Amino acid sequence: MTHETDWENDSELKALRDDYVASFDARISALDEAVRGGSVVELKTLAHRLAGTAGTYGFDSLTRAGAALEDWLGNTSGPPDVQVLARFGSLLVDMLSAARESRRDPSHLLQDPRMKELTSAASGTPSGAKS
Amino acid sequence: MIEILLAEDEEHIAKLVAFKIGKEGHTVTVARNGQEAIDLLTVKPWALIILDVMMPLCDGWQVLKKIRQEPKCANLPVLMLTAKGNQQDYANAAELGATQFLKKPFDPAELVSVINKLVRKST
Repeated sequence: MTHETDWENDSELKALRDDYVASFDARISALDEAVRGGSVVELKTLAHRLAGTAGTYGFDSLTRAGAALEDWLGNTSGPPDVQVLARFGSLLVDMLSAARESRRDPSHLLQDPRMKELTSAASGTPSGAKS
Repeated sequence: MIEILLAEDEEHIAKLVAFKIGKEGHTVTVARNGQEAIDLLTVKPWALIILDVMMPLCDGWQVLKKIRQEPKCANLPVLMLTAKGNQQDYANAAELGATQFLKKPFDPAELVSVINKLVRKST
């Protein structure tokens, strides 16, 4: 098992992780743009990529949020509600920003109301779709 | 020398996996998409092929099909990396002859353990 301290104690691993964290700016920009454009396909791809990579680098909360967003977008029939989409998008942006600043998993944001709403929506509770 | 082919389009995963494999004393060649992986299948005597499932141009399942059709690689151990790990993935793996699969995101230490086991079996 790779622990948080392993990333910090091994200089080469730390460099790889720093490189990954440096990609968060681009991910944040891409998320913002996709949310503004209402591009579901692009958002699903961004969420999928985040879900598949973040946990490997020790950012489990980002994986959880990315996976939940991907699931919600997959479950939503019709275009998603733009305000709900903006809320969920802003959650991921905030999580990426927090991780970028602290270099640590932003697990405190799992308690954010937006994360609870997203988790609920991703599990199939009909919320977020346009009526 | 143990040569491993890694097909992974996500740059940061490719870098980390390549780093970890290198630390074990093995040599890794990275393909950035499925077609590149297919083009590399017979250029070296691979001990193990690691395939991401979702890749541009040609996905991991299509690459696996090609591997099992190629006489030089047909019996090689193949490790699939998948973000889904659902019933369809299990079915594809069984049908197409994947040796093992690991769900993303994976723990780097676990990946190393799986790789070493598969490499030991093949050498």
